Amino acid sequence: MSTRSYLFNCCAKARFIDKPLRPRRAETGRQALTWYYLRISGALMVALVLVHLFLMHYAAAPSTTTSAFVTARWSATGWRAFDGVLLLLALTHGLAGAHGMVRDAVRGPRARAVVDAASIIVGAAFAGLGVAAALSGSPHRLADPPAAYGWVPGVLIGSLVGVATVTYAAIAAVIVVLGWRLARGEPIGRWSYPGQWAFALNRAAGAGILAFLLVHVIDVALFPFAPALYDRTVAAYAMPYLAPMEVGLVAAVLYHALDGLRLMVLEALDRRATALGTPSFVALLVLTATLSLPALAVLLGWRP
Amino acid sequence: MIVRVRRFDPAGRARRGRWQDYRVEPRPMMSVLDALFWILEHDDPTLAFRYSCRAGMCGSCAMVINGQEGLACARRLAQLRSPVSVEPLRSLPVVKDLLVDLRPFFEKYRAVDPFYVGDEASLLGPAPEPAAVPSGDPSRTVVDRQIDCISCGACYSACPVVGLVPDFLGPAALNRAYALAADTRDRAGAERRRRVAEDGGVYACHGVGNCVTVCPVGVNPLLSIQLLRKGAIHR
Repeated sequence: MSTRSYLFNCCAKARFIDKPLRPRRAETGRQALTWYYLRISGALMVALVLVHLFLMHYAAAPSTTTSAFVTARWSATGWRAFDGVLLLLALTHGLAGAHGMVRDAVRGPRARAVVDAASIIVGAAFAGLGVAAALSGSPHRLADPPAAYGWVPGVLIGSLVGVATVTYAAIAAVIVVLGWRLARGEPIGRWSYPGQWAFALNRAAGAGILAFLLVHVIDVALFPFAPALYDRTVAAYAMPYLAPMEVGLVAAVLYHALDGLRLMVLEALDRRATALGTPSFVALLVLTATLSLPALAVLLGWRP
Repeated sequence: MIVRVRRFDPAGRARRGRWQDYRVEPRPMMSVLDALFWILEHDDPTLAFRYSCRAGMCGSCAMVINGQEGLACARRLAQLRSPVSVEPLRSLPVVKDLLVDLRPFFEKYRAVDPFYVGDEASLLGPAPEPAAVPSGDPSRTVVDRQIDCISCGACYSACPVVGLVPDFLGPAALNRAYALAADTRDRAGAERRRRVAEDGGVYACHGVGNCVTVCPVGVNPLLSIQLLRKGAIHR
C-alpha cells in the first residue's frame, strides 16, 4: 500500500470518530461514581473497622456486649460519634457495592429503577435507625420491654440463623461441587485461577457483612427504648449454631478490608506490580487467618 | 491419551453440552490442535473447531484446555494432565462443539474504534513522511507489549466480569483502547478515554487478573485498564 492510499484510509476511518459504531449507552458515569465511592469510603473506614473489631471481638466476646456495656460506652460522646460515622460509612459502602452488583446483572430500565429505589429506601431507613440509636446515647427506659415489640428479637435471631444456614449451605455446596468435579477429572471452570477466588471471596464477604450489618442496626436500634430486648438478641450470639459465624464475620471483615487495600496498592503500583497479584492474594489469606485466630480464642473462652 | 471434548450442538440433542472421550494416539510434540485433527481424521468427522495459522500467531484456536484458556496449537499434549479436557471459550454463544460465535467479542472491540487516527492536517496536505515513534522513546515501554494482542478472546473468556456484567467491554477491547490512546501519534486519544470511562468501560473492571494469567502472548490487559483509569482521572 502506498503512503498516499494508507493516509487516505486513515482519513476514511477518522470520520467514524464523530459517529460511534454502536449507540451510546444512556447511562454513563454510574460505575465510575461507585468505583470512587467504594475506594474512598473503604479507605476512610479501615481504621475505624479495625478498632471496632478489636473492641467487640478481641477484647470481649460479642455476646457479652450487653446493654450495660453499650451504656458505659455511649456515655462518651466520642464513641457515639465514632459508631455513627462507622455505621454511615459501612452502610453506604455495603449498599453501594450491593447496588452495583445487582444493577449490573439486571436488564431493563424498570428493573433497574426498582433496584435504585430499593437501595435508597433501605439505606435511608437503616441509616436513620442506626444514627438515631447512636444519638440517643443511654436507654430511656430500663424497665420491662414494651410487649408490642417482644417478637423483634425472635425475628432478628431467625434472620441471623437464616444467614448462617445460607452460608453453611453455600460452603458445603462449593466443596461438594468442586470435589465431585475434581474426583471425576473434570475442569473446575474459572476456579483454577487465584484471581477468581480473590474476587469471589471479596464479594461473598461483602454480601455477608452487609447482611449482618442490617440485622445489627435493628438490634442496636432496640437499645435506647428496650434494652432488655437488645440483651436477648445479643445473648443469641453465643448459640453454638451461630458461633462459627462470629469467627467467620471477623475473617470476612478482615479479608474484605485488606483485599480492598491490596487492590488499591496494586492499582497505584500498576506496572511495578504486574507479578504481585497471586503472591499478594496468598499473603492476604495467611494474614486474614492469622488475625482471625484471637477472635476464635475469645470465642472458646480465652480472655486477654 | 484420553482427550475429553465438551460437545455442543445447539440445533440437536447436545444443546446443553456433554463430555465425550476420545482415545488419541500421542505423537512427539503433539499439540492439542493436532489431537483434535487426529480425532477428526480417525474417530469423529463431526467434531467442529476453528483454527488457522497453527503457529500461535492468529488466535483462531483459543479454547479452554484443562479448565484454562489457551491456544490449542501452542499447548503440548505431553505437558498436560490426562484426561485432557477441551471446552469452547466461555461467555460466547456456541455454534457447535468448540466453535464459538465471536461477534459479541468483536462488537465490543469495535466500540473503542480500534484503529489508528493520524494527524488530520498532515493527511490533507502533500504526503509527508510516515509518522514514527523512535525505538528508544519512553512511550514505547508499555505500548510495545500491549500491541502484541492477537484478539484470540482468551482474556474475554477468562474474565468473570464479562459473564456478570453484559455491558462490560472486556479486557481485549480496553487493552486496544489503551494501546491506541497511549500512542503519541494518535489524535483520537481524548475521545477513546471518554468512551472507556462510560459505564461498561474501565470502571466495570474489578482487577481480578485472570486476563493476565491466560494471555498466550504475554499481554497485560489489566495494566492497560489501570493506566486508562489513571488517564481518565487526570484528563
